Amino acid sequence: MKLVKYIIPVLFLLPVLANAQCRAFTKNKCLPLLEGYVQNDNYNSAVLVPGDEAELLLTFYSGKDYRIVVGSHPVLGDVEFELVDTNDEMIYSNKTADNKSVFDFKMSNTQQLIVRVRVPKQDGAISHEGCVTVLVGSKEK
Amino acid sequence: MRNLRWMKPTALAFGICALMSACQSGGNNANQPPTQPKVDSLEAAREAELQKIFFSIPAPMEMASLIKENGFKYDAAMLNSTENVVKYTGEVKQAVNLGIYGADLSYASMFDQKQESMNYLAAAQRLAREMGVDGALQDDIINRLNSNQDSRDSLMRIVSEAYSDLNGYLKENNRISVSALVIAGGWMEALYLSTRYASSGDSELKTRIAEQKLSLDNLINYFNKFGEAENLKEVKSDLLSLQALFNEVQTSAGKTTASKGADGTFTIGNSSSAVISDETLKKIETLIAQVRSKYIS
Repeated sequence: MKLVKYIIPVLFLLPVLANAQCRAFTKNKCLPLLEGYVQNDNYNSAVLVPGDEAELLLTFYSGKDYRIVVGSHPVLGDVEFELVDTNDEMIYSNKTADNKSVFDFKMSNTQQLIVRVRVPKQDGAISHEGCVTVLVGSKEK
Repeated sequence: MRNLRWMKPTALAFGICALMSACQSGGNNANQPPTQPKVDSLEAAREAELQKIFFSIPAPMEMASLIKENGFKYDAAMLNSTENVVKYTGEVKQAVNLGIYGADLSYASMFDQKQESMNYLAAAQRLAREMGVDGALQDDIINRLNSNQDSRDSLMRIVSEAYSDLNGYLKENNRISVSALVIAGGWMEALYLSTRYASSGDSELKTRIAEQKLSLDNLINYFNKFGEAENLKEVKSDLLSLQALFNEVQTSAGKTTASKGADGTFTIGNSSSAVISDETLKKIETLIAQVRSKYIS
């Protein structure tokens, strides 16, 4: 009973607090990883749960250096991210790079690519939720 | 007493929720309609779904970067005057102009125009305040800009981070459609500026304008996710008019290649192309000038 009386109010607050925490999480944990790059203006952070998948279609310009950062709360485990083209051809997967959260590359032609983020499923009765952020930064020539 | 003790955490939770809601709408101009919409459970569910959508188009900074790289000069007369800020009332005009000022701010900071950058940030701050989004574009950004006056890179980074944070603030405060308007405003201003420069015949800039077809399609798809949202209708209609012209751009798709150089640099490419005729470019230049004029006047 004692536990329940604290759980109910916390449940009311969770959606508000979780979202507010994503902005802080992005600023404190993800932005520093974009050091040396200018961040794209768009904000892509959301509270995801195990099994969730999110996609982000991006235009990358020719001749530019880019960095993609995918940050996730540790409670979600090793979040996978892939870079695929619009025909779903795989270009990069962090699974083959020790689950690194940063990927640097150069574009020789302008094209659209998709960043796909997958939160691994978890065993157990309690399903955790946490922030996942995708940041894109570019460098001038 | 037992009941009271049970109520304490619950009341605290509701209290904090109420306080947070109040804070979100606290900065509204008294003459404006309420900017924090009342949401029923269906709308709340819809907002929750929208919050999970990741969306991005290239930042206005990237277009400004190409303009500078190609040797063009800064021209303050092309920008939306900060004096116009007093004219903007109503959510749509305010949000679109917040995006327009953001693009102008990017352009000014790219050309290392420190005072102009400060002026545009102040105008954007004023709009944000009048829209009731005081939590975004806070005074510490002005302070950061002041203390990083010597570094153009820092200036650009601060500006980009500020607008990303603004979009995050809007998203987290259930005003995602307003964020879409801000992004659209920034995209339109970047297109306007680049068409003005491209009229000189610069081929790289022309190609970059042709490539905006991709961003515009992406932006319209994003707007479509909001259904028939009343506050997006006018801008969406303008974007669709521009899309009709961008459909004249000749595009070809190629196979993606990816290679890793000896120095470990990963390079991605393909043989796709986007070509725009001078006639189409002129039509786009005319239309974007008309659309922009409607919002900034």
